[in-house]
Amino acid sequence: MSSKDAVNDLLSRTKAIVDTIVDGVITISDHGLIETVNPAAENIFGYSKEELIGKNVSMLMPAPYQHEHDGYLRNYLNTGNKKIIGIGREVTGRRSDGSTFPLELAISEMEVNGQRMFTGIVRDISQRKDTEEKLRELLARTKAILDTIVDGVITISDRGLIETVNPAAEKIFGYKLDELAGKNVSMLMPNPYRAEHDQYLNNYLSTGEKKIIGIGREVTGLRKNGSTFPLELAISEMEVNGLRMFTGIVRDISERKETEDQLRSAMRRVHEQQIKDEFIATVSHELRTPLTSIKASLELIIGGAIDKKSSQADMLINIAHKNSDRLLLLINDILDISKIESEKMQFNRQDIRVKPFLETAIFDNQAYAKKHQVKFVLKQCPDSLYINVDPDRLMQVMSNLMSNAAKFSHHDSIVEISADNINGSVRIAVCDKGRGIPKDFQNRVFDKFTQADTSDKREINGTGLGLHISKAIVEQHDGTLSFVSTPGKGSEFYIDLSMTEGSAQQGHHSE
Amino acid sequence: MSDTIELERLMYIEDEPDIRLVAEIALAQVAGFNVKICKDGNEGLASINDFKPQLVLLDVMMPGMDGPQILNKIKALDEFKQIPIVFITAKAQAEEIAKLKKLGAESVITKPFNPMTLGDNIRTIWRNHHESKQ
Repeated sequence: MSSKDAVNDLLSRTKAIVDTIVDGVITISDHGLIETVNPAAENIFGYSKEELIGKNVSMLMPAPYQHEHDGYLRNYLNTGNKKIIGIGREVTGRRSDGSTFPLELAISEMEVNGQRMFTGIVRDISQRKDTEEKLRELLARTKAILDTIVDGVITISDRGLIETVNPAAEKIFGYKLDELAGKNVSMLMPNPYRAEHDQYLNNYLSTGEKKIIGIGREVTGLRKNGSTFPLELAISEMEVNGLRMFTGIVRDISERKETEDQLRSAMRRVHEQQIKDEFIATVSHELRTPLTSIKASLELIIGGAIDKKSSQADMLINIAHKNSDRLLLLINDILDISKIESEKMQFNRQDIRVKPFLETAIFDNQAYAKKHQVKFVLKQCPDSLYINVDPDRLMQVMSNLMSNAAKFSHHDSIVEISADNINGSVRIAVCDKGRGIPKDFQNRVFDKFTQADTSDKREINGTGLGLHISKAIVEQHDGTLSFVSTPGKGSEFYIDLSMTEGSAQQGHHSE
Repeated sequence: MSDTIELERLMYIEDEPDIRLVAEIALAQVAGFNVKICKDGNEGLASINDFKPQLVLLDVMMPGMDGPQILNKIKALDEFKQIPIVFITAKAQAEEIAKLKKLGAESVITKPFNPMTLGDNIRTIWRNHHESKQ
């Protein structure tokens, strides 16, 4: 290739590049007259090549730059004082239709055949500017939202370090941003969560096992002043510039919790009042029932409805007498319940030996055995088991359990009483082989005024309060009253109480 | 008033044995009614067609079928749906009594009742029932 060919080749290559690049390329003379323009420049300004060549480049600028351009150029040529040459900058362009637009302009100077020339490379940045404007607006909106929402927003790095907090988060925790930025977010948690947080985060990053991320939950926050408070926390994960980050949205729910607590306690009070009202209504009903028999029997006799010496009169006196006993039992039980519920029941606790206590229980309750034709038997009891109880109150429980066992036993059967050391506690058991407790009644056995068959109340002369009272008495001794029962086969009631020192020292255990 | 039918036959359903005994004396011996005393709703409903009571007295709290349930069963019987039903209850609270009346009871008598005047009270209820119908 000749040198001329080589030059032509280079020229055509350069022309091809200039013709196809997206940036506009304009060359001007040192008088500011346009010498060449590429197609991109025609496109950007909306002029054809013919309309531009030979014209002053200032036609592509809006006022006031249009009028100032010649002056700038002259000034540069005279003083060498560069305002724009060699430095890219953002200026305003003017299209053929008179509209203006932002453009990025880079000017270089060259000398061709001894003539100074300038090349301007222009890029229409309307779209970029528009996008930038939108982004700025979006950022401003986002910031306004973050600055004004009541929820605290905290972002942390994957190492748990706080990167940003919004004003609400500052207010919720009582810190300023500069006290928080770069610190481990665990400073906002009380122990043990504080100690566990880094481990949680590491665990999540290594296993992907989420404990809280993506799931809102209630946690405890720690304020700068050391106070703790309930907060609702929602954590989301995001990736920014290839870095994992976490955003926590926190809401102080102290007030809500307080309202909830108040509501709950109000509901509890209403419920307690309802229970009290029901109890009063039931007590009234239960007292009036025997009273009706007593009063009516006596009024029939006193009113002269029947002959006072007749067998009918005897029957009525008997009814009145029997129901007086029932009324007395009921009044005693109701008084006990009232004392238990107002915590006024007195307990005179003392160390007692279990064996003689159970022997006394069997002796004292013989009347029940006789009435229901059963036999109370002390099956086993280690000699030196001791318990610390109020013997009168515990005897009341024994009478209740033994009379129940007798009532619900078949004639001529045996009710076994025993005591034993079970894992360091004393267990007193009353076991019958009677009718047992129906399955669907077993969870109500200790409720007030309950009997499996309500007609039992009449036949068997109970108040339906005995087991409720017994359970309360045993619990006042820090013990438990429980049972196992098989319908048709019998029931076993257990009193479990702490064993006193005396038993342990003497080392007596069940054989 | 003169053409009011005399109350003769009444049924009383009560689960409490002692109250059944005193009520029977009060209603039969003292007041002179022909009384059918039943221990529960099943017994009452089984004998209602034979006995044909003109008025039924019902206890409220009873095991199995309670007073209000028995009332509904009687009201569902064509032949007896018009007869007055009176509750005799130990539930003496005013709101309880109002609730029972709302169920369709003619009247509510509270326990303890006076056996010497029980019959007179029931006759008054009977007369009021007929007068309100006329």
